[in-house]
This record gives sequence, structure tokens and C-alpha cells, in this order.
Amino acid sequence: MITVFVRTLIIYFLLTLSIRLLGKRQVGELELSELVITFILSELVTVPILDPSVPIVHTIVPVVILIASEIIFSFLVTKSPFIKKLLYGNPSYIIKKGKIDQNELGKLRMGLSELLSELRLKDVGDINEVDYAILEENGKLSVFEKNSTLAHALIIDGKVVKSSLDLASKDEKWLNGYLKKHRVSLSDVFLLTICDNNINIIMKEKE
Amino acid sequence: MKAFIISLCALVTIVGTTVGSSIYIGKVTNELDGMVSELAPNDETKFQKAKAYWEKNEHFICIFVSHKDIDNVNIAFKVLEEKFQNDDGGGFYEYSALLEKYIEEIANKERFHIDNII
Repeated sequence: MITVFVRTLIIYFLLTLSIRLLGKRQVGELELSELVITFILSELVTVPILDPSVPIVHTIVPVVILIASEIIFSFLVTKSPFIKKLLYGNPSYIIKKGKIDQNELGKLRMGLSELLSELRLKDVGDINEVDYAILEENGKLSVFEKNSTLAHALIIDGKVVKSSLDLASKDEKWLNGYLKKHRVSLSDVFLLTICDNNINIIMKEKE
Repeated sequence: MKAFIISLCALVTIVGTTVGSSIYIGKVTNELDGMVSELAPNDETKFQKAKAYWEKNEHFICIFVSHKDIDNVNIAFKVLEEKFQNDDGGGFYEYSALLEKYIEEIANKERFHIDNII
């Protein structure tokens, strides 16, 4: 029985450390890959506790592989928009400038009644009052009413966000002209947002 | 960046360790299989040699292989040992064949093969 005690302690500390390494987000908001990992981890760690004939390495190795892979993918996601799109998808604009995107609703397999219900849960009684409704990557709906402001991120971490350019009714030519005018290199920009023609720019900190 | 490098190192270490352990277990089980297949009721030296080789590697194998499989091998060795001690040759070959099967089972489970993956 002492073996079970020691094994449980090892697995408890391993799991606590693993979730700590995944970051605080793990406890609250879960990304798709984090959700998958949480499901697998919870099943995986119980096996060597319940069955002493299973070597503890059979749990330690998969846990380390999963956590290491998750950290590696998280890092790659921040560096590559393509990998980010592949793993997590992009936010879906269901209502854009006050107009429902029926095509996007169809793609999301979301009915209008479901959308209205989600809006009601956000204390929005009239869909005509909505300027933007965005289904975020984590499955939550963000709603911006017509009197509120929504800034579009045109550059994130030195990379142009083309979908935001369309939403802001701008193009790359305009963006390049703006950067040239302000003598700013694209790779040096950490964040550039636009809201009602007000542009806010944050430069990358030098390492 | 630091976490990324540490994770990459951890992944490489895990891959290295698992591949290395599989190769080593494959080598040990292969040699042991050869020793066991040569066992005879009138040759205790060969048996003791095989048993000593198993005991030398048992702890290492134990880290990676199901303890049930280890127990099976130990039981078969114990039965054969009793047969030598009691000078009882009856059923010797059946038990040595069983021992061989248990060792092959460990080797098969550790082998990197599509059958094991699916």
C-alpha cells in the first residue's frame, strides 16, 4: 500500500507542475489543445495509481510529451499565423458592421435562434443594435453594440492581419504608406490598432 | 523562448530514452531467449547463467515493462529452479517453453512495430 501512496504523491506533484507549466489560463479559459490535454491527463494519471503493475514511467513519459508538445505548439502559434489558424482557427465575424453574415452562420452550423439566444445572454435585446458579434477561438461570443468601439488589430507582432484590414476598410498599400510616413519598420511593430481612423501603435521592446 | 527550448530538450530526451530503452530491452530479451532455448534438465550451469543474466537486467526492464510480465518470467524461473533443486525433470521443457514465451512477449510489446501501434 505504501507503493500506492508514493505513486499518488509523485503523480500529484507531476500533474500540479504540468498544469502550472501550461499557465494560469488552464484553470479558466481553455484553448482547444488545452482542453484535449486536460481530458487525456485526467485519464492518464489514474492508471498507475489504480494498477500497481503499470510502470510509473508509462504515465510520466506521456505527461512530459503532452506538456512539452503543448508548450512547443503554443510558442509556434505566437510565431506563425498559419499554425495558429491551423490549430485554433480564427475568430468568426457573425455580425459585421451591423449586418449578419449568413454565410458565416452556416459555416459555424449556428442557427439564428441560437445567435439571438446568445445575444440575450449578453443582455442585448435587439439584434439591430449590434455592430459586431464575434465568435472567438475559445467558443465565446463577443458583442459590440453600435455606440461602443471596436479597434481592429492591423499588425500583431510584426505581422499584418489581412482579415482586420478588410474589416477596417483598409489595404496593405495604405498600411505600408502609413508605416513609411512614420518611418516605422513592420517587423518592429508589436501592435497596431485602428478605431474610427484613430491609430494606436505599440513598438516592440528591445531585448 | 526559455520554456520552448526546455520543452524541446525534454522531448528529445524522452525520444532518446524510449528508443534507447527499447533497443536495450530488445537486445536483453533476444540474448535471454537464446539462453533459455538451450536449457536442458541435466545442465544447471546454463540455467544459472540465464537466471543471473535476467536478475542483472530485471530492475532496468521493470522501469519500462508491465510488472505482470516481469512476474510471469520470475514465476517460470522459480518453477525451473525448483525442478533442478528437487531433481525433477518432468515438465521441464514445458516450463522452459513457457519462460521463452514470456520473454518473447516482453520483446514483442517493446518492439517498434505497426502491430503494436495499431
